[in-house]
Amino acid sequence: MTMNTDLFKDLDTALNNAATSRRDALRKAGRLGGAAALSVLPLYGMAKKAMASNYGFNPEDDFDILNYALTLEFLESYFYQMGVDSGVIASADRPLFETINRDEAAHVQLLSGAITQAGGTPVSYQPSDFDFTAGGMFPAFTDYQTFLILSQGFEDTGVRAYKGQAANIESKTYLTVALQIHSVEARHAAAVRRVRGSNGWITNDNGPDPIAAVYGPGNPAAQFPSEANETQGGVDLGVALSSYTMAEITEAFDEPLDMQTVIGIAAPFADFLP
Amino acid sequence: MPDLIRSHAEPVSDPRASRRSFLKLAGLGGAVLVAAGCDSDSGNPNPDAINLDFSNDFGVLNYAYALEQLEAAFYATVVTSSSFSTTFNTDEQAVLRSIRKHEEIHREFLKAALGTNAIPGLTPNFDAVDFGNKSSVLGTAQVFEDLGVAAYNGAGKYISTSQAGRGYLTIAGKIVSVEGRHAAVIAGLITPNTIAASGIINSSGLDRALEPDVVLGMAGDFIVEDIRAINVPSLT
Repeated sequence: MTMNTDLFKDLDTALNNAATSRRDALRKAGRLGGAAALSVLPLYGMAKKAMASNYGFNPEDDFDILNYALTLEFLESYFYQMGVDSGVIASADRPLFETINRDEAAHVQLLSGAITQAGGTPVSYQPSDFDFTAGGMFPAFTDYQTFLILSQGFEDTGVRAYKGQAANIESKTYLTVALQIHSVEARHAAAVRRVRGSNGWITNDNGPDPIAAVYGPGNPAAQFPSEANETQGGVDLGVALSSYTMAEITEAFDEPLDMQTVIGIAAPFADFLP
Repeated sequence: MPDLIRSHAEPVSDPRASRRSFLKLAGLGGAVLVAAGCDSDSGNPNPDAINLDFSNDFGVLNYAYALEQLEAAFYATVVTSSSFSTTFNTDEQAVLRSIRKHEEIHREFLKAALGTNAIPGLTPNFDAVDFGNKSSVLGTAQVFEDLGVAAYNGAGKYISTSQAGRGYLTIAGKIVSVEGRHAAVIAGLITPNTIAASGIINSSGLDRALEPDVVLGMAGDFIVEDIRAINVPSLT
């Protein structure tokens, strides 16, 4: 593909600005104290042990983890629905994105149904709750390369998000379902990356500027290192497997990401996120 | 480390396994192997089999180690085949070379992590694969990748919820998504615009999650040794 560096610079600036304004909003909410901060939470919650930094999602509560996942699935689902409807997608790639669109819509249905069935209250959003142009700065549905970069960013973030919660899920049933979604998101990510002319896997923490944070460290970084991490299970594989390159070692493992960092990545595209 | 890797390409030295391999090669082992295969009581360890004890995390990790051994051996055979550069185009060669490295890294990592708890090196049998035929190689790669994904997805629930177990589960997650990436890229090489073989992803958008006996039943066709999961907890 042709690299339009000016576009990338614009996108980068837009993301930084959006992130800055979100941070400002969060800081303001924080200054107003706990009660005020909680008032920005969605109504689904009555949020148990709510933590504003996680947008009220408690990683020790399966319902919260499922609703966190459902929020991300809504974002993806509407992104692809709008993308397919907009005509931005190259006709040669359309069947792929129709498949991805169908999968993401199915994930929304599945998670929503699972939460309801278990007696919980699923979050619910409308297309108008999302702004994939991040305030008009991303030509998400008029420029195909922008659409592809965002798609890759959402998919690779989704993979990291599910992975980051796997060990927190108490229910074995939900764990299995989460894993079954997780690997489908990885398939999506790989296919979209190939459309962009990249490898299907993540080399070091490489990613185009507008979505660089997708491949960066989470919080705490020791638990959620960047995709350039080469220490696994306490073993520095750069040393232990010295016949392999760092690129190969980092490609072989995807890294998890925490709720707070994932929400920060999604926030510029969702009006309701802090 | 190169020695460590080379050792996997050679048959294991366990005399029982060697005898079994010999019997199988000589066409005399059929009855024994069939009898073992008909043993419906998967809870009973077979002294002649490699038993993966799912009542502890090492059994689950060894299950992953077994599958990674199989995948790594397969791709190593693919890329070292004399017809590799004439069978595959440049893009396919790059993909297969990368996947080979990833699978070897998974295998070596798991071997190191398991230490003395690791099962022996397995002896692959790829007689059913035509390494000079693109469809045969990519089709087999697709089977292995889709199976690997389904195996990890199905085994996650058997990892303990101890502190260590949570760490193992996350590490398994770090590996399985890379297997999912492999699976999608291979699918795309076989049929552009696809991310899986037909029927793998269901109408709820879910990948498969298979039980260890099903996975080992399929993978077993490519492994000389009799390998089975025992003491698999019944989880609802």
